[in-house]
Amino acid sequence: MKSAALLDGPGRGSGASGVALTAPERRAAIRSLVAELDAGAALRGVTALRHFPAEPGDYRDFPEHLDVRLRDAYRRRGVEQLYSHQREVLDRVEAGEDVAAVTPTASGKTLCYNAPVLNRILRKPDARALYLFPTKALSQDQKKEILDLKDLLGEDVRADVYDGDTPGDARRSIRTRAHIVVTNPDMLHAGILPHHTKWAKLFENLRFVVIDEMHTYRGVFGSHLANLLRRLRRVCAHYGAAPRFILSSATIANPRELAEGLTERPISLVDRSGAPRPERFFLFYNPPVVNPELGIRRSAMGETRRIAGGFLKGNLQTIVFARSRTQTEVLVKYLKQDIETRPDQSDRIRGYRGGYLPKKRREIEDGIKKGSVLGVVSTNALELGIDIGSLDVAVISGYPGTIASTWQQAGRAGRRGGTAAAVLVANSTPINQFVIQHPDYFFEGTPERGLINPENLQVLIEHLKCAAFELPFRKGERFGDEDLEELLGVLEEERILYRAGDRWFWTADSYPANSVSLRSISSDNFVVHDRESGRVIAEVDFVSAHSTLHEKAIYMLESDTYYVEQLDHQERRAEVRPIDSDYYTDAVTHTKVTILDAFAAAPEPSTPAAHGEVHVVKQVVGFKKIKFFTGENVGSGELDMPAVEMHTTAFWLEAPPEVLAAVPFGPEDRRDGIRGIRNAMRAVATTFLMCEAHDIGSAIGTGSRDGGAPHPEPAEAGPGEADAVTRIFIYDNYPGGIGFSEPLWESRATLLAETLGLIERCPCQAGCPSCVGPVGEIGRHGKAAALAILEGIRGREEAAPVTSAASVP
Amino acid sequence: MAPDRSSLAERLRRSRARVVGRVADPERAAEAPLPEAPVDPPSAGIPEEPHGSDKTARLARARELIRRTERGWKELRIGSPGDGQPSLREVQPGAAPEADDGEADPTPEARAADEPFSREDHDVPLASRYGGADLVRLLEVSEEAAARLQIRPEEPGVDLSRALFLDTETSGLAGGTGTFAFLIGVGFVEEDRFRVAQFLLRNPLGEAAMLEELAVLAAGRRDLVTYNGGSFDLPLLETRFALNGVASPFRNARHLDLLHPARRLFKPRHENARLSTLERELLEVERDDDIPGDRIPQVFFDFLRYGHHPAMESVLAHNRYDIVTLAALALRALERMDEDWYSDDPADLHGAGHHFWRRGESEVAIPLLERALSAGLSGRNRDRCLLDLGERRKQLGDWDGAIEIWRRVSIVDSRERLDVLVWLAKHEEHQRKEPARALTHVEDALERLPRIEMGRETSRRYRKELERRAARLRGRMY
Repeated sequence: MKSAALLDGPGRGSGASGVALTAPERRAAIRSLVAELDAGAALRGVTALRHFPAEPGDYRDFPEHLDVRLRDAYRRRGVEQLYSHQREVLDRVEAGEDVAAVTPTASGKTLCYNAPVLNRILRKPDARALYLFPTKALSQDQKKEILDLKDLLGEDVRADVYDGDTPGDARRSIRTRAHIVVTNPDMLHAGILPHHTKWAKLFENLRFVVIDEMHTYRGVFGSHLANLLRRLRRVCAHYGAAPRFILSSATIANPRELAEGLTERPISLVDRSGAPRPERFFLFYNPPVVNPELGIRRSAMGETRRIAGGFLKGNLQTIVFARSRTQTEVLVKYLKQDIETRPDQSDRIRGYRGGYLPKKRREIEDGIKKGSVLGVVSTNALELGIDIGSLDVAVISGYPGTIASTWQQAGRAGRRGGTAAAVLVANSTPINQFVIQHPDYFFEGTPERGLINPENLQVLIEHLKCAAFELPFRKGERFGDEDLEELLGVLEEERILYRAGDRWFWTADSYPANSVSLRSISSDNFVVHDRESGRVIAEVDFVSAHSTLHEKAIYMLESDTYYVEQLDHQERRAEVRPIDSDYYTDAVTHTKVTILDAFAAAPEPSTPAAHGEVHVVKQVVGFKKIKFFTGENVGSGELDMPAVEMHTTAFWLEAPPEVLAAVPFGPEDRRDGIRGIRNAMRAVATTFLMCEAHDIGSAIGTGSRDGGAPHPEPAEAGPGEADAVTRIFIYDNYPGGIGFSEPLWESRATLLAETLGLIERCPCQAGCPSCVGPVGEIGRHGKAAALAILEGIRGREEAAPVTSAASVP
Repeated sequence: MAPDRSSLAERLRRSRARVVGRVADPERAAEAPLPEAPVDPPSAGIPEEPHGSDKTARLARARELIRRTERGWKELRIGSPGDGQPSLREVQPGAAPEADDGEADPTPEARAADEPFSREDHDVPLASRYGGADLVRLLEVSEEAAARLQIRPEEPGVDLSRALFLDTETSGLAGGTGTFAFLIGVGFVEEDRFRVAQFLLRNPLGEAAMLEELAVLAAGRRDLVTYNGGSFDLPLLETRFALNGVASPFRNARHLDLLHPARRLFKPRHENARLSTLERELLEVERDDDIPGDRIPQVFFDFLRYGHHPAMESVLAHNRYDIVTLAALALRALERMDEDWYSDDPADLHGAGHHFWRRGESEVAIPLLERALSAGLSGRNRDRCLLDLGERRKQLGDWDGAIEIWRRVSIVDSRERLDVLVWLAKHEEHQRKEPARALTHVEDALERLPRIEMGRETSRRYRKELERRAARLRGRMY
């Protein structure tokens, strides 16, 4: 058997002995293992194998404007020359430009900002810089990097991390004495800006703001950050400072647009990497179908174990990316079993995820760098720029959700001058199946766009309040593009601000930053209280609470099950009790979307679509009990839950009555078909938007052609149906919208084609979770109907290969 | 990619202009104000939506969002979604208390005529007696005596005859640059009077001028007396001085924060060390009709908007009371620094004894503590007193005597019990070299910890310390 051969691999004999391979041995091992895997293509496992030849680096000398002490320090670290992109960033920063550098993994991005910042500090010891990292772990990593450089420099440069873990007595000295303050947006928002007088020394002398991992600031988080930076610039202006921005980002489609959206300044983009690239193989692997009827594939976890195990036995240093903390731990257990077969091999396999203590993480990072750790299984915690050096192989278990993340994770493998392999193992979600079956979407397509909407009214108002708290607004002042005076007027009417002369003062007994969480729109969470232990075991956001914490629900945490006894809306609290349940619950939600205002409608009849403002009302009306493993429906219940509503933006696709009438299916099958299209389109939209599954919602509605009076679900066939247009909505799951619907509308033709493609190419017979949804949800003809309707919408003359499926009983 | 510099709002507006006759909500369109003249000429043949409705709707939504406070989704009544009125829990930040509403709107002239801030002085003759203290003693107290009130022996004393007794009323308790002092009261000796000068902000624009005048008054007086000013009033004022670009007169002031000695001296006898509690119980001063502290910010906000407020006089009086009480309390506390001070109240004796013990004045402290014990000290105070006395024995090298005293600690689950167990563990470990016995004490303490009522931070500190000790002891044993 192929798999057996793979397990034995070329490492046979010396298997996992810990004897380091030489570079040529490594190259040979990787090539042979990749070839073995590819040979399994007969089983339809490998959907793509790409080979990227090594590329030499493009080097430049250190620029003259870089202080000689700094040049020497870098030389002592072994940096003799710069990559061309590093030199370009240095030159542009020196010229006073705001710069965004798009840098692949391991291309020396920290030099891009550390060198100019340190250069300025050496020249002017008063100068200060603020570094923003999205996570605390990255902050610590960065501080270490600067301190190493500082030691080499032999100059007194202070870099300190200021975050929730910073001890109280250290804070005072950081405020006045640190040249480089390393922090995260949340701390800047709630801990620094509202106390800016204590930070006067920093703000007066602030020359640079460094924003690393810029691509993580998209959607809600990015919209918050854009407003936070408005506040930061405002406070700086108060102290007479106007810092430059240096941003760094993984590859995304619109780095300049995102950088300019976040900073509201013209940005100079450096996106041609001069770093050398090692030879790299990239494989796409789809676990084989074991039950064609239900579309069930072999588990991604098991396949990951097998594939990663093969590389590890070949003594190749391998990183495995898992989708969740639980999966990480399970894979560590499996791989330890497979690899650590002798006592002296313990700790050859390690796990890595958030929740490990910093000391343990450092130890693992060092182990990877030194090579004593052969294999590491990580959540996406190791995707961002933590320094672990480069490994031989990356196995990615489950599509990370975005093209950018996937490249970042794959980039962890690739030693200089060596050969690397990356394997993406798909799981069965529609997004995974879409990507794994469309290698070109990944390899040839542009990566995702980072979308933000700083004008989201709710986000904007929260930050306007925070800004007013920090400094009174003056007449004529700007905050983004907003007509400020009117909004300030509203805040004044609501007695949050008081206008005196041409200034608006904060007059409320509160600390507005405390009620805003940058990582979500609303900080209004429900707590889950375990009556048995008396502890709060989880927090659930307002919207999800309705579907996961309703009474009689089974709430799942890690692998434990809890029975929800009571949901207290007033107190935002769910009372639960641990229970050994053999079923889980699935909430039945009615969603009604009403079009308030269509911004744009497509003129071409081939894709009747639009986007605009909508009113969404959701109500959980009941639930189903689903048995674990079998998926059997073992009961149901009705619920009397309050509805929730919001205004947001949406994209919608229209199925005109004449199209529906033309497909050879009855009304029931047509409804199933529409549901199927909705499920598939939603999955495709998620990949397009580079967003998380819960960032968008979907719904179906029917209504008149002008968009009025829709019904919650396609209405029963009645007199009105002949005229009714059926619409599939994909809406931004955030009040006010976060900017997803316009790009969906712009790429509507592709969206439609790809949705059709996903369904067409899926090997299941009548529907599965990877395309239109399982048969249980969309019925036996749902898949065929979905295809027929889509073809109809696209106005094809005939949909022959598809409609033939309609004859299947 | 060419940068799109325009904001999303602008892009939305532009894309709206491309809409061909698709106004979905006729009602709303009908309500919209008359279209304003479009700023940009619309493209030929494409009707433009009324510009005004867009803006009005956005502002209406803004208002709704603000009223809803932090809620993104709002709940509707159970039942038919969409057609009911939202059952919002209306929280209107900044809404005036109803009772205070209905004042006549100030005319713009009235507001303009107001000075940006006002100063009001009230004098109390130094010859008067208040709260059981003769105010004239403010002139007599030496700096050395005042220094003994400080809980840390290295802190300097203050000269009460030249000090400012300071108290502020603020727009909130949150801190940060958005919280300001709208009323700053300072009391000081002025010839034969105790004068309270109050600076009241009548317009936020006048803050800098007010702070400048305060600085003038404070010049030449380098001492401060406050109640919790170290954590609250002074940092807040420093922020205000900094924001307004006025040099702070308080930066290098000597400061007596009376809260700390008051806790030591008075808390054993009185339920807490709040200024109002001590005023009532110790000074036996009854205020009539005092305004509750949590209402004060709102009274000021309304005062600001209406130019006057019936409760504002109560706020001023509240602040004046606090300042005179502060002076009296300082004198009453100083009584206990006196060699001749005598009390037969065990709790008071313990308070004073404990204060001196912690200051390192054991020759004064120990007799007081012993007297407290023999006067019938009970409960936690007794346990605390025993802890101090035991520690004194230990200090003198008499471990056996110390342990004998500590063993008398009676409450089973208390902080004092934890402290005793730690002492016992130290003794077993270092003196008797019995790590196993030491460990049983530490484990005993750890087991009791969850049952003991204390602040989360304190509890965490205890746990950390105990666990570290336990780990070390286990290491020694194996």
